[in-house]
Amino acid sequence: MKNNHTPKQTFHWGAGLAVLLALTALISGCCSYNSTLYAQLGKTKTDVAKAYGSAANDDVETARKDLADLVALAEKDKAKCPEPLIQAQNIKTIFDGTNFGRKGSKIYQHKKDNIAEAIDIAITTQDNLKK
Amino acid sequence: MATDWKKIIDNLPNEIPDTAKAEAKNFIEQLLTNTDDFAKRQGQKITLYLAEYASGELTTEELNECIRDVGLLTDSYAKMQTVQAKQKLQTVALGVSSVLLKEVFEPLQK
Repeated sequence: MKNNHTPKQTFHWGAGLAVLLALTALISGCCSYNSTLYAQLGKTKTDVAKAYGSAANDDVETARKDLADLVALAEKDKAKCPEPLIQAQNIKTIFDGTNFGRKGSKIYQHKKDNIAEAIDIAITTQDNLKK
Repeated sequence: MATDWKKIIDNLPNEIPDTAKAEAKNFIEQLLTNTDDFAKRQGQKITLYLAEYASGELTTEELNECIRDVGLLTDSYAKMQTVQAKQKLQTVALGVSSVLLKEVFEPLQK
């Protein structure tokens, strides 16, 4: 089969790819410590622990609002740093899948442990950016 | 005891193909022997979830939910790693979704 690409075209494709990769690296390398997000993660951690501890409606709704705020905050920075948004969405997904009427069951305990770990990962991510 | 989780997968209904079961066992085994402590811990969690499923402490839906959470956690953990480690962990997160959930555990819910 005949190769229809001229050396010039191949160069253009290669150069275009290199520019794209460089831009991707530049964009993904723009993550920096976000003190507002860090504070929100701390608040969320406390309120989520309280919600899983009591399973009371008020506590659950407070934690739910914290998570919505966390996702909204992370959303603002997603163009230059998408990682915190994905982490916030993952935390929210774990929370949203919890049946707070099943406190004391195995699944409830696993949810509680996994969401605590997911929040700690997001906090550590910010800690690492601070260094 | 250490290999009980393999028997649990072997004993899943026949509608789950043997190849899918074999892939799932291989995937979990790789997690358990992973040099990354986080990945190893996720593998240990999955075997615990399987044991609880087999003893009736978790329903099929709950087993799926727990394994899905492991995938989300791994995805989050990957996001804070350097490029090379990130790729490896993204592959693990993808494996949780494709090898375990789609091929083995989600079909159990139908």
